Amino acid sequence: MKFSLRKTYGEPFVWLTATGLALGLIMVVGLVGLIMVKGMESFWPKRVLEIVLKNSEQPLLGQIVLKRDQSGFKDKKEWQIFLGNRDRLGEGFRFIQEDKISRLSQPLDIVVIERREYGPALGRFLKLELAQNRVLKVGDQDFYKTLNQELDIVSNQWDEIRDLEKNQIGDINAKIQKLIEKKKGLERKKYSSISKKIKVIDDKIHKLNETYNALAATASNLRQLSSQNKLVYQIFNGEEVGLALGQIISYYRPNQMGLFSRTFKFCTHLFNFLLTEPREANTEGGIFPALFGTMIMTILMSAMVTPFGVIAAIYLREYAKQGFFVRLVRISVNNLAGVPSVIFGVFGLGFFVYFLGGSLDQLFFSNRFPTPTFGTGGLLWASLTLALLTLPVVIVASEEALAAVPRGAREAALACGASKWQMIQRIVLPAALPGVLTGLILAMARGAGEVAPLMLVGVVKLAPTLPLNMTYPFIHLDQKFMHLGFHIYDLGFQSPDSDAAKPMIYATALLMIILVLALNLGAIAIREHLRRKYGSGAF
Amino acid sequence: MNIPERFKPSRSVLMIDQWMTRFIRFGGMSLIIAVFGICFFILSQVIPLFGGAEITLLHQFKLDSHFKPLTLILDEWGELPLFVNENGEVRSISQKDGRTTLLINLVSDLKGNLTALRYEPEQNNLLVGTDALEIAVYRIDYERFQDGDQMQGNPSFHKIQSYSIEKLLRENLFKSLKGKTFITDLAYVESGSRKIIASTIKSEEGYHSYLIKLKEASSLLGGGEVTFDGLDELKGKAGENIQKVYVNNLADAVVGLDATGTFFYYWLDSDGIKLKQSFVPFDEEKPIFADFLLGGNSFYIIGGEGSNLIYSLNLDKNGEERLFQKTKQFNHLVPTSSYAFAKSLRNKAFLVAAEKEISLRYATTENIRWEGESLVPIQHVALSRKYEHLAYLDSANQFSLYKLNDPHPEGGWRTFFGKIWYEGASNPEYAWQSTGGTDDFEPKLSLIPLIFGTLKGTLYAMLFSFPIAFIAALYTSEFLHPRLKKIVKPTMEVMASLPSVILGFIGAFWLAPLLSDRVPSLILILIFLPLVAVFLGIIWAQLPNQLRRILPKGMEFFISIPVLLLAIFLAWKLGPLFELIVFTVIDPTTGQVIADFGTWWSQITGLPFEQRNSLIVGIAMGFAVIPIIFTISEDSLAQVPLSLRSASLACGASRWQTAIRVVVPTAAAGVFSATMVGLGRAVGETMIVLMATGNTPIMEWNIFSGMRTLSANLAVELPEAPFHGTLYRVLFLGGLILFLMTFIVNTIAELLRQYIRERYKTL
Repeated sequence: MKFSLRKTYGEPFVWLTATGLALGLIMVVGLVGLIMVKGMESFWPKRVLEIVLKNSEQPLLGQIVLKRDQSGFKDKKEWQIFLGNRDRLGEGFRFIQEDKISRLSQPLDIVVIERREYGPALGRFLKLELAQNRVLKVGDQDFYKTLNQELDIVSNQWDEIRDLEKNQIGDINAKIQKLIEKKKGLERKKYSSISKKIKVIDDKIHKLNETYNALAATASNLRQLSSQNKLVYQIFNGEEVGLALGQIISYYRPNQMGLFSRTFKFCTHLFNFLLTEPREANTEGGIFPALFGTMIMTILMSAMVTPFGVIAAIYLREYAKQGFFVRLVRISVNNLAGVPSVIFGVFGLGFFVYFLGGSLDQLFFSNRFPTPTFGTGGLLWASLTLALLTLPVVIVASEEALAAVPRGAREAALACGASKWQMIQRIVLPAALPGVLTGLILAMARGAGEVAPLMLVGVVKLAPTLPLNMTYPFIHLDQKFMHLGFHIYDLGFQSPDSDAAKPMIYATALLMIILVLALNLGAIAIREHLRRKYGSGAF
Repeated sequence: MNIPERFKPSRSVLMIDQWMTRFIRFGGMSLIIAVFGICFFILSQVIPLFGGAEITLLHQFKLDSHFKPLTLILDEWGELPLFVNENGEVRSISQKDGRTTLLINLVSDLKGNLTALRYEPEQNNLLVGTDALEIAVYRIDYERFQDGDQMQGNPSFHKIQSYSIEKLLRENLFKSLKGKTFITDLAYVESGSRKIIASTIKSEEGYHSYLIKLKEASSLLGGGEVTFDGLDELKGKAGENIQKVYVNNLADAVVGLDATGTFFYYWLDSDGIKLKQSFVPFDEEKPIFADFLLGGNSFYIIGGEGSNLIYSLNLDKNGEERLFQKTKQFNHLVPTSSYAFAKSLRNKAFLVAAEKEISLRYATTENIRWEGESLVPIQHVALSRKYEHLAYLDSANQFSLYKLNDPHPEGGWRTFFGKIWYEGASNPEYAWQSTGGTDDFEPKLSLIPLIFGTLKGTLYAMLFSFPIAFIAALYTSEFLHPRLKKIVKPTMEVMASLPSVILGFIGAFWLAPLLSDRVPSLILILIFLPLVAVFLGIIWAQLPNQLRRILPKGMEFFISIPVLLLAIFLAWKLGPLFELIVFTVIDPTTGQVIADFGTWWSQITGLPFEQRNSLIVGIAMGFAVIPIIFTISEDSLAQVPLSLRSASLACGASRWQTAIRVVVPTAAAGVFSATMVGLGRAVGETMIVLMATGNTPIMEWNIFSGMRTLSANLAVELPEAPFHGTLYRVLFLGGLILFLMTFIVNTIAELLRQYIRERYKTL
């Protein structure tokens, strides 16, 4: 068969274009897959290896983090090993060269201890030192039974401490703060009975302070109680470390675990990740405050953007005279959708935070000066900024949804004697609702994923309290909050040990992707449903 | 017409309708206005940057005519102006009635009459010298106290040094000076433990300048004992006598002026004093006045004909030595024999008066911030330390104090968009460096490097994304099986919704280390992919029809995905081999031949190779830009009327010919519009650039180095910028430029889209 390029009729080029699509799909699937795998991996209890190196007697204990080319040698690999025990070793990770390894094994007695401070410890249990000089060796029959019992007790004590410190003491602090503000306000006014009132307030503050001291004493008592008993373990370099039981969150022996118990551990890790608070400069523990902050912010944003967006869409579609002006407005709205998000942040900072917030502080919160209340970034301003950012999405989607409502339905309503508003309210809006909802969900997806504007208007790396809690007025619009996206940025770029933070970042990224994808898929599903319902290509 | 009651709508319905109509009109309109307001708000924050200085008169008093002030001093708060009389009296001027109070006589405990006086604002020192060759240095300290509702500053004077030059000369075996001698000029600087007094003496033989070095014993408590550490006479290159001496505030540069108008620059270090350079600032004129500006780097010189310019201590062209170079030239002053001068201690501004004209000038930008004219010649001027007040004294002994309002003296078009010769730089440049470690730091606020960085990031993102997005869109719209399209399009759209912070993180922490020593593999992938695809197509076209029929048309990419993955894998593995063959360099330290792309790149091109570079940004940004270009171009390609395609196919064109000759030209405007929207996204993308580059504001197109974009700059610097400060407003200006850039790009895209919609209507 004689080959001729002309005879291929351009087929090779068709295949070339197929490459483009294939590449695009590989990119999407690859990226999402990468984050899925890496994110899931961070919850999975990895086996701990005992590594004997050729040039040394002492075996290392560690988990493999990654394998990569040695720099300069493309044919040799090196392994990054997680050693744990950061408090003792000073470094959490070590690189070893693959060709220097002489023996690998997985001893069954290795434990991973998850601690409140310094990250996990890897080693072997030695003994348990209890009160009245009672010592249990690891070989003793009821060693694990006693350990688990004691851990349960300590964990209850910690719950109590947390409740004391977070809720009760936090409550008192809030009350004292309020009273001090009131006092400041009174001091500025000048009338005769003022000193009496101030005295009353001072008394109250004094009383609260007493309660505070009592609570703090209880908490510190409990703390002491929880650190009475000690667990002694040995790390790979032979050092024996004593650890107060209060410092232990849990322990597990990864090399003894089967698939089932590892899956169970995986779920526990996942559960902890979602529902607990961060520890160790956010690199350990959970991300609950960030997740909660993201959700509250997104909900507030939706509550603000929906009415405005829908009103603007109704105006543009139903009331405004279609002509040059409306065309101009449409161009601008579309344009606004393309304005970089950071510009909204700039505007939010300048207008909402400094201008509006500053004025609000002058008017209502001058008692708190020089601490700004609304004159600094916070939940309200962040939601408003993002509402502005997502406004075009909602306007465009709502307009399209309104346009898709059949003319016949409107005319039928009007013919029945409905007023224009009645027609919109009873016929058009219900019909357009799914479309509006699609727009709203897309807006939420966009809003939840934005970080750049939030960095300017109110996100922090660690917020002491949630923006929605049990202290009056329950929702704290002026408070700064944590956010999943900023959590990723902060952990990756501002944390002292970004290697240690990586599993956390991947896990957070995974959570964020799942959230955003779920919202998007939801929107797509609604869109498809609508398309079928109306049978038109207006969306 | 009479409408039966039952057909009449109830009044409440009508009212609600009317009310809702108003409400929606009002709401809709105001929302739209608010949206436009964003732009105007940002603009309103920027405008003050371009304003000049404003002054308002606070007080004007006539001093007693018998006072002959030699200098005028303003305190930090502009509350208590001082002047020094010709007999050494320091007097304050009351702001209530202009009455003067004697505070101290500086020469009362010195021998002789006052012949030289100098006020050095940087360390707040007053220096006096007499015709008995005695000198003294007084430090002015202010004590703040509450006086009723007002804060008051109360000055106190401490003599910190006093020497008899005559005695020092004698003790150090210098030749004794003949005839009547007196001190004409003085300078005193402290810098750490080093202290220097410079003094010029006139005798019958002419001028002599001496440098007295003092040493402070280091002590834990701070000021130890100050001891004499040597005396030098300053001489020009050929032994010229120096008439005037200037010392910068770091006490390492001394400048002397001789009778011919030549300046000599001496460098001072622990070894001693070295003459480094001589320069003549003017061809025709004699220098009348000179002084260092804030920071001790820029040396301001005024000539007799009114020329005024700045010589700065900069690295010379070879980058070896710091020498004086002429860097700035200002508008001419009125020629006179004596100029009045005062420098700001907040920034590089200075106040200069010649005859009746007075002007506030800014050294960095060469701008005139404010100009004024008095009725009679001005003799002395003063600026308060905080750059909030200015004062002058005219020859009629009239004292005027003004409030100065100049919040953004650095502002101006040249600062943001022009080349400026900054202190210490070897030539004029565009530079962005908004904050520095010291108070006398000169902020570099050129937006050009940031705009450049934005364009660079955009360019590399587009280079990566456009080809992929375009051919993917072409395939999807023209060749892909319709059933698959329903899955493929949403999948690609999902990519657009991936949060950019995740893309940035993946770029910085996964892609950058992965690619840092695998660039050859990437190059191979770029070569392999199209080759393999085309080759696959050729083979496919040669296959017999029975075989080809197994795979329905539009399913090609099912085959191409595994083949491509294989090709990518192969290229990845072959990369090191490729590197070994092509990218070899000789290691300068060991002399061995090594194969390393990074080293090769920097040796061949002379440009750096960084791990977080534009390539990473391009790829990571591709994830954000590809789906946008893909979706919109696919829409416009798919919208091309079917009749056109049918006609083409009926005429015997193949599906590729139809696609490339009929569909693409018809939809070109739409594809262009899609590219514009993608471009707009790339221009404004923040988190990806912030995370995946080093954020250094450099200006080079090197693909293996980073950049700093406008958007990343905003995210980094705005949270720290003081409210309504210059940096804050400059960042808003950056935001405005970014806004305008995306606005233009998006408007073009939108107009094109409307155009294409019209066009399809007629087809």
